[in-house]
Amino acid sequence: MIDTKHYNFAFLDEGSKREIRRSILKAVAIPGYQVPFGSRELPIGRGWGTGGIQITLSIIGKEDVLKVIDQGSDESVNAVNIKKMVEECTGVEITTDSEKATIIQSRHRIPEIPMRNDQILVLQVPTPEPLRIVEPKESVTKQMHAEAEYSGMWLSLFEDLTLYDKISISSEYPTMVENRYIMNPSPIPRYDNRKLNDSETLYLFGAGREKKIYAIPPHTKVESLFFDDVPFETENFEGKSCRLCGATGVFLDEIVDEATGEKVYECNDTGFCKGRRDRQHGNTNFKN
Amino acid sequence: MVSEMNLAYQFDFVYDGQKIFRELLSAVANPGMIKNISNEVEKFQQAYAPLLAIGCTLLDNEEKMYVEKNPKLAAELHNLTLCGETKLDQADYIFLSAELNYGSLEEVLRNVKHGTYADPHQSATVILLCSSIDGAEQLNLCGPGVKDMKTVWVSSYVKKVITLRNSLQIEYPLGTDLVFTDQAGNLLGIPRLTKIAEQGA
Ligand SMILES: [Zn+2]
Repeated sequence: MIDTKHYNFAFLDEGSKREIRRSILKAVAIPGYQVPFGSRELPIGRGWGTGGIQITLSIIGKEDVLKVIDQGSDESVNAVNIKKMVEECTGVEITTDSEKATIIQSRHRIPEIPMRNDQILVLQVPTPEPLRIVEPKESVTKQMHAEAEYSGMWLSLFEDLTLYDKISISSEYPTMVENRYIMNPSPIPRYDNRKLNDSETLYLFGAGREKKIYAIPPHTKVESLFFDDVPFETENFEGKSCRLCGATGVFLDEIVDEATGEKVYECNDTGFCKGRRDRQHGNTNFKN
Repeated sequence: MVSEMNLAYQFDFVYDGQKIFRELLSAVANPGMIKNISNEVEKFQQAYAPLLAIGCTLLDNEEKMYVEKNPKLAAELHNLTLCGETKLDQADYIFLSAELNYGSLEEVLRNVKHGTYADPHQSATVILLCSSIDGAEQLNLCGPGVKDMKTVWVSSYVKKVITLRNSLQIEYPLGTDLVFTDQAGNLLGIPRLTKIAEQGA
């Protein structure tokens, strides 16, 4: 556990924050372009990656309200650890209510309730480079972005299509931003890709190990890559609903009932599901 | 060193810097949406207080700045942030404390760093202090951060600068990001992709 008395507000020194802030502003001005930054060591497990946390710590102020979710859940060990760390070094209010939050940090999901213009979604990215699947060298992928030379990426998608009859990538499905940069939307399901396009909210992406920050401002054109004759398909939950709150038209997790062998479904976004159930029970003044 | 400087001013590098950054971020992410930092700007007394407040938020000794014809402002920014000065075409942040005429403005916007195709982020941000952002000129903006089209009413100077920058037709992703501020502490962000919409478009 960190001793907050010996650290700055929001843990990072002001020089580190300033560098990350300058990179964020550049990232917003060049949507989908990966801005390099000098990533810092943080007192938190490496596995979760630290890019998102560094962004959160650099933007957060005393009046912010923070929500952290990991794979849709507010209560996973990773989400809880991050909330604890940020709370200790900033004293900000923590919530599970996505409408109350001013900053949401997430890995693997974009919340179900559409985010507003006065909120920021910080997404954690393990491998920011979308072209890595076609080219291992960073110097080469950087040049490909410089020239918008994306034929290798298209060819790879086409090969996938001929091999499997459909594009097999399930998450990190590549997107084209403002007709210029191919961008990794982070490991969100395909289902969430459309939420990046013409959104009300600002998305900030942080990759700690690879030292990259990129952004999607509100109302930016973000298209999933697809071929004209093979439209982009997302996970399909038609005819299925959450067994807990009854929601349809949301991203569901499939769970097998071990007793009956039957498949059942639950909302992947646990904060959204809990909110619905609390309202259904007429409990309007619930506390998270 | 920096904390000693704090005492001469009311400005708090940690909390005021964070607040200004968030307003700047919001301004750049939502071109045409006017933000305000007057609470933080008031902590400086000088005529160019808004530029000192923004400078203290963004600058340090890792960046280079260019200050147009205002040695007093340059010296103060350096004292407060340790940011070094350089030539116009090498600076990361350009501070224009007075409204320039068309010729000087063109000279500045043509010669600042525009970045490269591989490193478009290595480009200059131009921060302009004007008497008032608000004015009688209608400006229709479009581009990322703007839903369809947004109309803002700005001073003729603000419109002139944006029109001039766009007329240089620097090929994206290269470009120049503009931040306007004024004596009332308003902020207007016009990043490189912000365009002026044609009437009726
Ligand atoms: Zn549910």
